[in-house]
Amino acid sequence: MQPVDSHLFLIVGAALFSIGLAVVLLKRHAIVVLMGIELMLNAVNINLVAFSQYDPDRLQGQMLALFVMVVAAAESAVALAIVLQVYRHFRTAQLDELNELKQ
Amino acid sequence: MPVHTPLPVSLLTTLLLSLPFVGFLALAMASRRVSAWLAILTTSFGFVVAFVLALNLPDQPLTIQTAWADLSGTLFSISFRLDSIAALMLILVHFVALLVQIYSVAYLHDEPRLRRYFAYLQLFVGAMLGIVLAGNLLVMYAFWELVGLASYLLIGFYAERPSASKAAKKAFLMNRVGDAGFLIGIFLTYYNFRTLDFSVLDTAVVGGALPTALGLCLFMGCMGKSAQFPLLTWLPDAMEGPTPVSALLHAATMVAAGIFLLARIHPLLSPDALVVIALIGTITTVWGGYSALFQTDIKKVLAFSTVSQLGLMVAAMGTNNVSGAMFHLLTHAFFKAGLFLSAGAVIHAVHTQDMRHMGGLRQTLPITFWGYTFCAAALAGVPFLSGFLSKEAILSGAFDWASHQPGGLASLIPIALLLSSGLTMLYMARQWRLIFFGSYRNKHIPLDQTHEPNWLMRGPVVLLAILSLGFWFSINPFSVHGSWFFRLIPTPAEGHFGWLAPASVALVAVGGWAGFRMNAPRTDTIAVRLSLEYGFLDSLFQYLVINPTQKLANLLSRTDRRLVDGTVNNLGITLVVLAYIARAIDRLVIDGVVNGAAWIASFFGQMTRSVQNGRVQSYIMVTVVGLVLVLWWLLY
Repeated sequence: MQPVDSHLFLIVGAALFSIGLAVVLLKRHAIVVLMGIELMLNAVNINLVAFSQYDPDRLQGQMLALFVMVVAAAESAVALAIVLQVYRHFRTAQLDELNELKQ
Repeated sequence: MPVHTPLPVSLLTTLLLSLPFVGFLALAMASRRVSAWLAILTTSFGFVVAFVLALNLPDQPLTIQTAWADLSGTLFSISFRLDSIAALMLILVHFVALLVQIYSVAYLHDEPRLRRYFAYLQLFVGAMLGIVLAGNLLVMYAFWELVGLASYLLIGFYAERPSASKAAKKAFLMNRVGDAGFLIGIFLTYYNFRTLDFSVLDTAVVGGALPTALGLCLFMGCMGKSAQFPLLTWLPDAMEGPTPVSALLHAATMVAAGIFLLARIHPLLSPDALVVIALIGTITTVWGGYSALFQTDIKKVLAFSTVSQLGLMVAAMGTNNVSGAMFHLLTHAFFKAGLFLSAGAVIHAVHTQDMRHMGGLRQTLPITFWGYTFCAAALAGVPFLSGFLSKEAILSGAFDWASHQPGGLASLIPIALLLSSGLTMLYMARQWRLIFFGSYRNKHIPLDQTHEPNWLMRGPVVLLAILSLGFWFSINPFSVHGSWFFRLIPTPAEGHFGWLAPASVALVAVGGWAGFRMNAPRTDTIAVRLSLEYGFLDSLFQYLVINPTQKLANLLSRTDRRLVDGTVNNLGITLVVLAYIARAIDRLVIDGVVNGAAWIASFFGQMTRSVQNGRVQSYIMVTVVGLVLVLWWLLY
């Protein structure tokens, strides 16, 4: 199998990471922000998988990507639960209106 | 008293001196009703003590001394001295003061401030006793000033009258002029002799050269108190006081102080000073006599006669005749007090002091008339009366002195003195006629309503008139030689001038005749105005002293206002301007720094606060930017 040129992976990963970061920073709704985080995690995963081709014996990159997915799933679960609680508590999930940290 | 009984003389002297001052304090607290009798009791007790003292006088002058101030090794002491002159004066002061106070009880019976009046009198008597008993010049000066104060209080007793308070001020100020000289004289004495004690001074000066200035400065004190030319103008104005006060002031206390001072300091006077003193005394006696000539106020005539007689005493002092002067002081005290007290009785009867509104009073006031006649005759130097004797003593002393002086000019002094005694007769005869003879000229009170005062007032007058008789002092009516007085106060050998007594008698007769015939002169001639305004001395003082002083005062006040006040004001304005500048600096710089610091702090606070806005996304943004920066810094 002809290996794909690794810099294409990197461009896709960087683009994905940048989009995720933009979503995290700019979007107002907590759920959407969580989505942005997922994008960023997956951009990292692409990088990990892409670099894993230079380690064909042990495939540490792919292993770590799997590990990240698991952790991301757990994180999403926890984060969604928190968002749910936040919504219950403040009757909103708009991050602009949640400035309790200022106190 | 042949056997000397051990009388506590010093104790008695101290008691005598403290009596009037105790009386003064007691009177300040006594009620009005008893005040007069308390005062009289005090003075009569003092009189008795003075008499006892005089009878037990030690042979040597007695000195009581106590330390007062020790100034860097120089001891100033309070000392009192009792000798024959002092004893004589003690009796005289007490006697006249006693009579005056008895008289005052009746004379001032309507006066609401009687208590104060008697308290002042006691103060006056006490101050005079202090002068008489003073043993050194410093103590004498202290009591001297006290006499000045007491005279001020008594002359200005009717303080509600502006003229009285003015007269009191005038007397006080003119006395200050003399006292300033007296004080300088005391300093000079101390500078020259290192002591102020009379007993030491008497012996210290023998042989040494005497500075004339010293004697003249001391004489300045006498000039003020005894109203010598040119400081005589306060005395006529002092007539504003109650009449008994005038009697006391003119007879025994205030004006006698100057003569007594001269008697005390006589050894300190250089021959030149004595000539000046004799000259001033002569000028005063003529000046006073002439001023008395045309006065219309009954008391002013007597005041100027006092000036004249004091001039006579001072001239006697100047002609080395201490005993003669003291003798005249004694005789004068009796008849002058008598004259003032009778004048008081006349004023009491007709309620005016203007002699033009009197006349013919000899029928309604017979006792006053006879008392007045005897006293006036004694004053004028009529034979068989005391004044004749003392004037003869003074005049013979003066002629004797003049005969020993080089140059013929010196004999002008005794001749002027002789003529002035004729002048005395002239004005006394005029006054006598104006009051007691002729027709009654007062329109306000009819003649039949004028009446003699009660015996409290008549008694002293009669007593003083009796004491004006000559035989109390000398058996020989035409000569005073061999009198008890000159055994008491020894006199240097004097030439006897046989022609003097007839000459004085002739002068008295001429003067009396002329004075009795004298018509009321027109008041606009220069000669009359010269007399009425006593030689224009007051106007002279006004031009020479008062006006320049006032101009100087005005100048100084203007300088004060412009220069001193201007400086102060400018300083104030400068300070205010400086304060404004300081305030501006304060606000702009100091407050600026503080406010700026606060502003910067708040600015940074705002900035940091804006970072801590509580928004998750901005935190993340910062984190990302920070991370990028860290990466950028690490990689490049």
